[in-house]
Amino acid sequence: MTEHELQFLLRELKTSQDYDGQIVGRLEFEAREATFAPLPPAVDPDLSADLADKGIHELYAFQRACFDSACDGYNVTVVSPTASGKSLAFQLPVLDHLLKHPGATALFLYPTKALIEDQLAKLRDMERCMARINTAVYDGDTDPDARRQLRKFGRLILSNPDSLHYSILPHHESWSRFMRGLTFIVVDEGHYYHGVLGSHMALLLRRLRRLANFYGAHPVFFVTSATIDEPGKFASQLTGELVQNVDSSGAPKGQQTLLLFNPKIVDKQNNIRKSVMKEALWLFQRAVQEDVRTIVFTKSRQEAELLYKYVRDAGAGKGQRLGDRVATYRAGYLPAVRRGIEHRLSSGELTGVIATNALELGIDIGHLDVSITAGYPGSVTSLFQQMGRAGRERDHSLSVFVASSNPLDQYVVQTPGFLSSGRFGTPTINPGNEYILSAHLRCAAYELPLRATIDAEYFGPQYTPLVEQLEADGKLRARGPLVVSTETYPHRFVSLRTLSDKRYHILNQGDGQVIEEADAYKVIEEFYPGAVFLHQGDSYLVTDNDHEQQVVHSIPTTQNYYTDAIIRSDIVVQNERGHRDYGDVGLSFGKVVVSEQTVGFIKKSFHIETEVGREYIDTPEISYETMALWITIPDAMLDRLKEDGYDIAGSLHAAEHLLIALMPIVVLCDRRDLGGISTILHRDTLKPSIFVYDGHIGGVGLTESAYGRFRDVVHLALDRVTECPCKDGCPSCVYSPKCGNNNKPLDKNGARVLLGLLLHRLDMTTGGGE
Amino acid sequence: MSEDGMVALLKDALQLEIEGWLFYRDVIGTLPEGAVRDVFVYLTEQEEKHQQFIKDELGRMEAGNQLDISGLSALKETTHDEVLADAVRSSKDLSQHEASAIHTGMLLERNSWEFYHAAAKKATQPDEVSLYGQLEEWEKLHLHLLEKAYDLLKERIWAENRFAPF
Repeated sequence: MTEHELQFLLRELKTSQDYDGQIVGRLEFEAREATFAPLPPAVDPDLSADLADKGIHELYAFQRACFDSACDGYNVTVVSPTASGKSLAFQLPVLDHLLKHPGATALFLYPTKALIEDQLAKLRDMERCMARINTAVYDGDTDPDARRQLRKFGRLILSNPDSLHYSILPHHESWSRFMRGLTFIVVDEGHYYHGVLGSHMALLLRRLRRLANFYGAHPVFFVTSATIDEPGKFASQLTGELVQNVDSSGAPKGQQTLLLFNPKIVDKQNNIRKSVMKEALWLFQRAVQEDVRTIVFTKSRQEAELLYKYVRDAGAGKGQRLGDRVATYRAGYLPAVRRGIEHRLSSGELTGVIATNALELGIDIGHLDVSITAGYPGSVTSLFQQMGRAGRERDHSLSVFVASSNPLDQYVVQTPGFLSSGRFGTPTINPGNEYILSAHLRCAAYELPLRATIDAEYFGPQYTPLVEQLEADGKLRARGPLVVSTETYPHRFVSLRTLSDKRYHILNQGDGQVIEEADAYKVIEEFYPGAVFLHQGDSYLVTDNDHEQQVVHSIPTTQNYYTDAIIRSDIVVQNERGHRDYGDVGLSFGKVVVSEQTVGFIKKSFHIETEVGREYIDTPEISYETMALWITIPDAMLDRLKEDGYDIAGSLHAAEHLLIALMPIVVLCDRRDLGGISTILHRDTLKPSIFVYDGHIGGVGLTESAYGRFRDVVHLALDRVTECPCKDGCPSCVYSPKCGNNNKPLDKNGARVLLGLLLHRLDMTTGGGE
Repeated sequence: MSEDGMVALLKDALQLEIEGWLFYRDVIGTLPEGAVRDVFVYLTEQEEKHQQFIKDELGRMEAGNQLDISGLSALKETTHDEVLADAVRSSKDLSQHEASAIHTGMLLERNSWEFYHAAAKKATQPDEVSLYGQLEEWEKLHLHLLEKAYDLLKERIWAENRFAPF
């Protein structure tokens, strides 16, 4: 929007009768001028003609730098926000090379189906190029005939990591032509691959590179990412090769204004602020009524649907109902529905969209003027991705961050320096994780016999001991200088993702149509019998779940409430595999069962959002085995905390958050790969206990490794909480972005004392009783 | 019943008592001072005593000792099943929140009562039978005192909203 429009909008906001000083901060991110570079002189004529058709006669400087580096054979990474031209940065060298070398092939990997479809549509606009390069999608929905065609003739393939893992690599012989010609591998949205998923991706790319090398190909990697710290280092870890970072300067960037919006306190006693939803609704309505194209990001599908319903119920705006000019967008909608919304957005038919983080990734939805983030999305990178959805290339854009009452949100809104520090964090991955590496070595051996002299280079220093272990376990067998697999298709035992692969159809019994899809966890949390859920603003009542057929039955309803599940989480020790006593402090490691069960639900009225009833239900429990470490706290320590006036539950909870936050430094993972439960009394330990578990079915060795280095973890946690200058807690110490209890109760100072006492015990005594 | 079976049953009992105690503890944090809150404080204390007793017994059994219920009488209830109803009668400003807390407490107590009833039948040692039988009685008392108050409160809320389904 123009500066004038922005000022007008701000004035409108501040003079509105609902405005009561909620804007508590304003951050300005300066504009950046574009710098241009000429198209490379020898670019294929069909490519330059296609570019000319799109009005592209010169490149941004970073696009040209990417072209030059890639053509010189360097692996490249480029970091830039959405809609800044990074797709063209990798398309250009790839298409040019494929046009000039008929035997060459390329693979583009995307994390989601929606992105693949979006990118394919963009490529198809390059008509001359596409007429000469056989380009297609290869994923789980590709039919068998098309797969055969692709294997024979495909040159540019758009796919995802799962298809690469399950289909392409294990059957590489059928892909030998493609592998021989493989010249470019593009990993789009590289920042998406962090933690355990990132470690899997890193090893998957090493397997791909190993096979390509076997066929004589030496592909160039191209990794794109949202803004992160140390992108070159991250891309190198991900691909296993040295990657050159191309500075994205040269891409134009309009000035960005970020308003920090803190709702007023409505309950002083409990420090509760006005609902983030209501404030976001108000801002969104104001903007859309002024015909300002606006996107709201919510933290959950339910919030997106509720907001849409409220907008729809709110009545007319400029002669047209507001509900007709806005839509919701989220995962769970059927692909055709999502495509329709994307089209209506990019064509300008819609003025506003309410979305979950499904729209954070670079799907083209045209230009928007304002972004509203309702609740802190958990990371600075994510918030900036959401902000990046607003504004044309050079225009001034407006973003609003609306804080909830959650202490984490309050810290962000009250500490502007947190967002303007220029620190984004680097995604953590660990391709040396023994559990994950073992799994990929089994797959690699099935794909091609392992050779110690060569393969240790791909898989790192853990290669030899792990191969020996797999031989001892009977999974691999030595045959002369080679090591071969003894298994049939071990890939089926190796899942790249943490969530359940089981998909449910949500059926509208009224017309027999499938309206949504959901995984097993979502069914437990949101589609239990008796649940009233919203789908595109309409209410549905869940009547029954058929877990065998994986179908949720629902009927349209006119109930004026929605439901929130009451979920019981539990952890039960199955067997203790290690135990050490440090005086009266116990440290254990072993197999646990983590379970969740919906035991009831709260009915909440629309708009007012007050509780109008509760029901308790009996639903199947969803549980999984994993590995955990746990510490038991002696009564003497709790007495000391009590005497000093600290909150016991808050101290345990805050200490749990700190251990989870710092453990990744010791075991190299993402904090989202870990889960935790702290309790004043646990049924198995009979003591106050803190559990930290691997958030992956079966465990991936994270807590096992931390068990061996627990003192280091406690030391780091204590340092963090001691050095943090905040008074009562902040995201840098005890607040967790994924806390299921909204970061309550937390006692930072109690945690500091507790960790100090724990460290003292660990230092005074050597653990006995292993 | 084998010793492992006895321990497993006691662990389940402990889990129930922890859940009940945590629930009542949370509820008293949200209620204003007054007679209703006092009853919830009492329930919290009782559940804490049950929990402590079971925890100690589990500790004894895991140390290789026999179940010892001689201390059970110290947990004796010191209330009656009208206590919460009386509190409701004497309190004017009660809301949906109190009703919801009482209702949820009823579900927890019913669950505990049914569990102890089944456990008493499953138990084979005389001390075990006595322990679960006694706990069953006490949870039944909690359930009844909650039910009586809930019925009263429900009637009041209906009357205030001029709702008369009869």
